[in-house]
Amino acid sequence: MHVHLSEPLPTQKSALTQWPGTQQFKHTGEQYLDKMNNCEPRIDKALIFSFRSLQSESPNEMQRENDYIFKIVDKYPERFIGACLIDPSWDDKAIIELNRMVKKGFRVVKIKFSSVHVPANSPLAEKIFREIQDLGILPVLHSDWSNWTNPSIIGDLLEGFPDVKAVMQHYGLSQSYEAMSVVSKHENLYVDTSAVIHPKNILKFVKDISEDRIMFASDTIRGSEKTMPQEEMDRLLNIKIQEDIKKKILGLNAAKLLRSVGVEI
Amino acid sequence: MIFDCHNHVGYDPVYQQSRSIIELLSEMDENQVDRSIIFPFTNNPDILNENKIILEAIRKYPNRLTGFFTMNPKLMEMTNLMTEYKEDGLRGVILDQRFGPGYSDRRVHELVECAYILGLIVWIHSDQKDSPIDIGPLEGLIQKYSGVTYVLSSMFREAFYVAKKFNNVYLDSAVFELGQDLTKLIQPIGAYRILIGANTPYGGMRGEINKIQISPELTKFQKELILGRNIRLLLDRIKH
Repeated sequence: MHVHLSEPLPTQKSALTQWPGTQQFKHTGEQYLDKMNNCEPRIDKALIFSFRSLQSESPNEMQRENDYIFKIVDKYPERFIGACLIDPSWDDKAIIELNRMVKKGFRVVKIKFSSVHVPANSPLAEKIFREIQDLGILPVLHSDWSNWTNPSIIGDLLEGFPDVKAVMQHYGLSQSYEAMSVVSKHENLYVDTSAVIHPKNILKFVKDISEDRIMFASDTIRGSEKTMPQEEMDRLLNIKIQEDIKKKILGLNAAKLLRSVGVEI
Repeated sequence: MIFDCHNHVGYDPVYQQSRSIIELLSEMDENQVDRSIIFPFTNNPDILNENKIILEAIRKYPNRLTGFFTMNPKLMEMTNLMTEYKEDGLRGVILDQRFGPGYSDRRVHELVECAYILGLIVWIHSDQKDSPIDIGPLEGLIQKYSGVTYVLSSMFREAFYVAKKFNNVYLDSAVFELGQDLTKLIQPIGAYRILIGANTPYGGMRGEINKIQISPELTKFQKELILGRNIRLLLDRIKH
């Protein structure tokens, strides 16, 4: 439920923006497809979105990156589900981009408010959420310990949108208990397992909150990351949890949630 | 003379509100502020249009306003834009991590290098008051370009540590919650590297001036430095 792809930059641009001698930052659809196939157990499907536009220098760049995701989904429809990624600080222009991608068939939007220092309970975030509500799509939201996207602030945003299903990513970071407290108060809030620090908190989530609202996610970002997504999956596989619940976390929960917002799986 | 060095004008997308030059001038008049440094809201990514507002304002009110510009290090035309802004009369560049590249990023280093060549103050701005800054790479940047004058603003307290270490680093008063926090730095860094900055419209000029004027621990001389003399000397010293 959480994979970032980055199209390789033209050689000249890459050479002028990275320190000499460093590896080009990229993560192509094909690279991740290989990782999915080599993972044990094999990953059948993945939700993909872009990366560089978490902070976008222009609406055109945001479009270009989303178009790459569209191209990959179009090429491998059996393996990838596309999500639009918007930089919310572009305000109305971000909303235009969101609508463009929804018209192309995307039903999920990824937003990381903290990347651009936008509090998730700000008037701008609420405005974007009203659009998400009207479109009936699924927002997947980065969470962390910051004063922009900590779980309580995300919960504050969700207060005004009880009918919008949303995913809080990284619920298992250092603010895990706070995240679980927030999720327990919002039936429409789901979590992903990416970056979970203490895998036992997955058990705690299942026991205390729900076995239906938690989904496997790797948050793979770089093509060069050799241990991902296996490392993230192993954290889940290595905890003692009932097989039927494990299956839900590995995919059944995600499939059900995505279908509920109109994704064809 | 009071010279406030931290004021945002233009459009703030996060709170969906505008702040006009007229509103700023009115607050300056109410509080007997003679001159202000202005720059865009750093949460607005549309830097070309927001910087235009700053340019128009300094042309209209050259005796009241000094302009800085925001720059997104990801823009490939960055150094050309910086050169144009300098030629148009802007005196400093605002660097904020909200644009993405961190202090160790190649593009940020090039931005600071360009500021050094052009004679621009580098204003390092962050709204991340309650989280640690990326201190190792920040120190590396400051050390590498030691000929540049930096102002650290709206930052976590680690900014105090950085200012103690490097003589070319100034602090704006918006980094201090209370006047008493500010006076504690007089011993390690001196009053000559602290600038009054109200961070309007989030902060208010009256409160910021009071922070300095009511302090029983600052001499009249030190208050004059912080309230305006420091920034005037700094701008005079850096080439036009």
